[in-house]
Amino acid sequence: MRSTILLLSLALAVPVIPALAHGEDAARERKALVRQGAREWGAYCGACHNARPAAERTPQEWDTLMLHMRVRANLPEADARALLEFLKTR
Amino acid sequence: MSIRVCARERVGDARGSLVRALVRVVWVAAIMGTAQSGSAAESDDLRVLHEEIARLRDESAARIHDLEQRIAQIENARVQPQSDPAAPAQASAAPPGERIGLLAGDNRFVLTGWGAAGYSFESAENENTFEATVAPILLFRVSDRVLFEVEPELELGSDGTDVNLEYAQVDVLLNDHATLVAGKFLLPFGDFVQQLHPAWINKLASKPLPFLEGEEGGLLPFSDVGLQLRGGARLSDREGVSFEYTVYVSNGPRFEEPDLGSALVSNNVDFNQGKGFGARFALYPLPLDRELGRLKLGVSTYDGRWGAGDERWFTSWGVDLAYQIGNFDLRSEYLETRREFPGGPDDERNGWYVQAAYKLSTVPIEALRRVELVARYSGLEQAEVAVTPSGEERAQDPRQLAVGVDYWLTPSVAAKLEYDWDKLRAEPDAHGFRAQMAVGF
Repeated sequence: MRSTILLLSLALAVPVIPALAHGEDAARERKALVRQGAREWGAYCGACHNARPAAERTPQEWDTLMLHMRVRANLPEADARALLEFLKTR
Repeated sequence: MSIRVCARERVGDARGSLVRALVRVVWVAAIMGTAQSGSAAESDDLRVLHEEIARLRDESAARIHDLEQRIAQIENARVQPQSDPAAPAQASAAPPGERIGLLAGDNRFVLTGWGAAGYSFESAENENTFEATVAPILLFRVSDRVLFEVEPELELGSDGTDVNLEYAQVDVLLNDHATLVAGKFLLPFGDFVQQLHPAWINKLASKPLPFLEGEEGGLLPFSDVGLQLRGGARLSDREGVSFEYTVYVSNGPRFEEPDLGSALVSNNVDFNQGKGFGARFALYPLPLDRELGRLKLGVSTYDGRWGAGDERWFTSWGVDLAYQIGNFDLRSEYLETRREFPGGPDDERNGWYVQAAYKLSTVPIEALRRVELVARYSGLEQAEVAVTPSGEERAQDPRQLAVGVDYWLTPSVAAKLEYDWDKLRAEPDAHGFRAQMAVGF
């Protein structure tokens, strides 16, 4: 009986483990993007003007402003995404 | 927020209506009761009034219930996070008109831009005036891949307020490396026009001589109308090493007059069959982790037929450089233009500027840490001396040394002082002084 309960518990837990791992991967990826954005913020934004503090705008406003800046400065997509994640951390 | 407040006001109005109706009924009842006390009709009137009160109460209660439900719906919609994973599913199920809103979330419309107010003195022009300019930039993110942006510039002129549409364009991100731009856009030539001309970005109150606008005597138009394909990509896994490109077709160059030395003007509605063609490429060769600074090297060209009904061409090319390391900023651009004149000498011009700036943010004196020092040397040359019908020489091959001090109140608000020393070929040296407060918002 005890072994049956154990097996059942394992069977139920198996689908949950990849989902948890996926969530952890996504969180790790986001943290890496924020760190990359922090490194690039001064160099990329400061190439033309003083880098504006993230707290100046809401995350939703940064969505629009970064789209504008990505086009204006021809930013590579990976760098634009990292800058956006950093700016949205405020 | 305004919808919620409006709905709450409507609930308040409904309650107010009910109270007012009840008060009116009580007053009428009191008057009637006084006037007709003891009459046989009293009981009938009171019954009618009671019925009226009950009807009004039921109506108002239903209205209040309906409005409170709508408030709850609005509040629930507002607390829904933008990154809600259910949003795409909701969007696909929503009517087409609401689909974009659900995908894009709030604040798709953003107001940004810049403004400046100042004072200008120029001995050569005998100018001594206060000035003001504002250029709001309106951004509307239709979706994560489509943006509409427009910048009208309003500037005080001698006859009133000059209004100029700097750009009005739709950007469509085709993929990670290509964006289609349609509409009126800033000319993708060099660095100054596209990136540096807003007053809060330009470290001096004046523009470099080759990039003056229109009749001021610049070598290129500030904007054109057409289609662009542009983008950028990394050249390696190392952050910072990348390139950018822009190719475009446009209405092309247009001159104010058909003679030598004439100024370029906007070609908003194409006056000839010829189109303008241009391209720009820039390279960022330094990786960020080497801490060697940020370097950009660019090349640009802009060409097109300038005459009406013939094959006379205007051609131009330029190179630009920008380098930042620590508090130091260096920029330089050089460009050449050639305007064909059949049967006569071509109108050949060139222009250049070199600008260096240094922020004093690390000096031990606290009061100086917001100060930035700037110096710029710029010049124009014209191969053939142009003479207007009145005999005035247009080409003076000017040189200008501009030095300035900026005080940064915030990263986007600067108070600037500038002194200009102008040398002209056939006239005495001239001097200028400018003070400007520039705000980026």
